[in-house]
Amino acid sequence: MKLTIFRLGVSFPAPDGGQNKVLDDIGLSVAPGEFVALLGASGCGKSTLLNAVAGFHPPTSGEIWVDRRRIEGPGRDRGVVLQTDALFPWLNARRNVGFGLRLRGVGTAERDARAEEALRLVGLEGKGDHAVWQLSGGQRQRVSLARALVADPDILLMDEPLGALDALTREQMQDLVLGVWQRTRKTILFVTHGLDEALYLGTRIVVLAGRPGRIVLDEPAAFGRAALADGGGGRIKSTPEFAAARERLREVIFTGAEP
Amino acid sequence: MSPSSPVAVPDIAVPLVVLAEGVPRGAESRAAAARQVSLQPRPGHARLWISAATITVLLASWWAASASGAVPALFLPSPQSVASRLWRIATEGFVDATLAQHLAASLFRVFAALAAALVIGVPAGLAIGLSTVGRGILDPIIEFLRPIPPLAYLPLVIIWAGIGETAKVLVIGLAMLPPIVIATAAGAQGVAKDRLNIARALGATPAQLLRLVVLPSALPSILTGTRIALGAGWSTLVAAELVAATRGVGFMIQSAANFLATDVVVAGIVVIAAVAFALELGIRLLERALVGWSRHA
Repeated sequence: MKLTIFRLGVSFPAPDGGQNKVLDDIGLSVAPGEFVALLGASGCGKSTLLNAVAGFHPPTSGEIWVDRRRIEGPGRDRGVVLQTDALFPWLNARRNVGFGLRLRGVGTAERDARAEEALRLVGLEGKGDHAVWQLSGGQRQRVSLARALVADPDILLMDEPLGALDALTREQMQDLVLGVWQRTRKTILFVTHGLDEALYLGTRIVVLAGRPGRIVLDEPAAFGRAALADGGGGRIKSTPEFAAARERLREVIFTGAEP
Repeated sequence: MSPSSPVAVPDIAVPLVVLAEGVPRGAESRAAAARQVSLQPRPGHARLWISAATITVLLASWWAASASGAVPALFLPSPQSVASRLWRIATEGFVDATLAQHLAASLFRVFAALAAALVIGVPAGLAIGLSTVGRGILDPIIEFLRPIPPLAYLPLVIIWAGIGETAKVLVIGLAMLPPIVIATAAGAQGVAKDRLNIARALGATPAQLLRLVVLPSALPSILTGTRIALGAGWSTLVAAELVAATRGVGFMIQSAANFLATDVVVAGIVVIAAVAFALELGIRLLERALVGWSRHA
């Protein structure tokens, strides 16, 4: 599924009565199966961009297309994972994962079976009966990912999904996300403020900077695929190439222009 | 209990106004207590022992005051006489009905009122919590209704609904409505935006959002509102049974006051307190069963 963002602008009402322009003239075309790491400093509008693609917030100008359908609101073709796991605490892990199927009227038995399958995909087999509060932060985020996957979306939108996790769990989760991407071949739009994370995960790095936010860098990356071939584990992060790419990215983010 | 205890005053309307006026304040302090309990760790044994000792001391002073003859039995009957009177009301009855029949009449009124208040109050609360229009329409009505003591609108309700069972249920229901509406509205407003967005992304229709996300999210709050409402309704009972009742615990107390049967009055008060305690306990069990998850969230 091809995601096309065409001259997208998003404004919010400002306290002084005017309009606060958060995004301006964003153009982005994402090919099926791409893993786009959307990187930027705090307040550059990267979450706003993701919310617009998810359909949570209507664009002020421009259009967003998934294949030949123009986005008018949230939809099942775009799965969403947020920084807060946003699980439903009154449901156990399995029922959380199966929530999207329940909305479609899928019967309990099939729902539970498919939820269990999705839980296996994120390494949580046998945890289906656990209540949300019995799961760790990383496990909750995995349930959240499984919940998005079980609806079989074309595109996965992830808004700093690992941002609230501790450093070690985050590293493990990065490998898990890479593994899920490799197995499902979903198109992924992954918002992050972590340089390492963006470089490690993305097949393409898009940097937003400025106010209103514009795309200041858009280039392919190869560390993710290399990491997969390497068996993950984040070892690639200590190579000189990775460090050099990291420094360059840092420059771009803080100066807002390509060096 | 002081010698100027209100139960001995022939004009029983006076103390009842005091009782009715106390309802809103009592409801609020109970809400505050409910919040505190859920935030604090479980009370230790020490506190239980202190509470038990306090009750024992109070009972002993009551017994001493009546046994020594310092306070005449008309003002303060002894604990034994109240207990034996309670037994006789339970077995033989008082004013043509046994205690169980009085209790059944009162409980029926309170639960009929609760059912009505929930059927009206939960949708109204959702409307206030979720829609600007709903809030604009319903909020002033609830804010107008909330501070009025039930005894103040009792005459109006009787003019409208007559002196039958409907009027009594209506008065209790009106006292129960505001806490349920306000708690439901607060619960609906407190639904995490991320959860709503995720459900929308998964394809939820507005009706599904309401049924599968908003209602379960608001349920802990609705149950808290129900607990406060039950307290408010039970407190309003005596006022509701003031007019043309032939059964009910509140009616029993009032008839007893007319006969200066102080022991029945005190027994009735003890019964009302015990039932209120049982209702509170019941709701807490219900909360544990239905929204146990909210204690971990």
